[in-house]
Amino acid sequence: MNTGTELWLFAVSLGASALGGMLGMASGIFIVPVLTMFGHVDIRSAIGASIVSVIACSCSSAAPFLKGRLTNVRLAIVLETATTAGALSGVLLAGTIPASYLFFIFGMILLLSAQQMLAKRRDPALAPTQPLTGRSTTRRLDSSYPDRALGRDIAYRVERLPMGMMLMYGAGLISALLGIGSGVLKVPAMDTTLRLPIKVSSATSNFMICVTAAASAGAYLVRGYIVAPIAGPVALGSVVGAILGARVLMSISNDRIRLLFVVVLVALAAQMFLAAFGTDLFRGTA
Amino acid sequence: MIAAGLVLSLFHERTPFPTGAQVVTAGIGLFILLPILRVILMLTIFVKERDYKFAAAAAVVLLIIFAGFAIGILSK
Repeated sequence: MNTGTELWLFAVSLGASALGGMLGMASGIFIVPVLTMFGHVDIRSAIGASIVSVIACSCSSAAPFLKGRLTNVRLAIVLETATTAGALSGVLLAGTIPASYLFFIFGMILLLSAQQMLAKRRDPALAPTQPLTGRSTTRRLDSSYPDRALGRDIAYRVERLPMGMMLMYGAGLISALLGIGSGVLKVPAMDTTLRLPIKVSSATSNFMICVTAAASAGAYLVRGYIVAPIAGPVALGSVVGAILGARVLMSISNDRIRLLFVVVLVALAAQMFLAAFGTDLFRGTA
Repeated sequence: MIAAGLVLSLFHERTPFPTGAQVVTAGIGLFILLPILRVILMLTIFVKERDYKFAAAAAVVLLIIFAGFAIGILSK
């Protein structure tokens, strides 16, 4: 591993997470495919590197959300018990699952993100809510957040927590298995099941990603999947990229880029499926 | 903290011999430590507020994270 390779890794992850950041997405979903396809990095090392960059990005963007009182810390800690448990199962599975399965699952997740990007998120808190049900513990998770656009605090309640917990377990599992933040899975779970306002679910999901990733990263680190010469530059690049991406996010219109991203995601998914079935356009045979 | 991690990684790029890799590993370890510290902080806050149900949840999260480390060591 020479300095040239490190610079290359740094540049690639900077680009990947700048792209991700432009749409407010986690960068991991781009980093793993790019590293495995163009960097010829082993998928497990790529996942190890990616999980570190997920922590780095999630941590560096959490502070402004907390300040804005958007993060529901109580809900986060309850759901984190499920996501970290999922992450643990993911780590256990990762040791036994063949690499081709990993490629396949990754392809599925890429397609899911593409589909999600096409569909516009509807604010679930604005939909009519069902009458109050649930025990008092659940009710203590309810909260409110300040809405700048409306200039007042919006109260919301948390619904169908057990179902949400199960989805979170799945999200944690996938996160650990693929080295992604799996906001792709968390956000719809929070939107449709818990019926949280969009801003709250984005902020809370971001807050949870950090802890979930730490659970799996710890295990990967002691297991030796996190290769320092790869993970170091990747983490560094993705933090810088995420900051750049967030800046750009403010100043560009969204729709055309959204479409471009769908194309990129589908292309990456196709490549991942090819890799899963043993043919690789860039390496000849996998 | 994050800046420290960045500096460590930068330091590595100038020293392409084995010790550099160890410094980067330390930086990565720091990144992993950050969220764990955050959970510990939440735990102490919940305990202080006598919010024992949520303190228990935080403790469970911590336990699971440490179990992850343990599994990693055992399955090496």
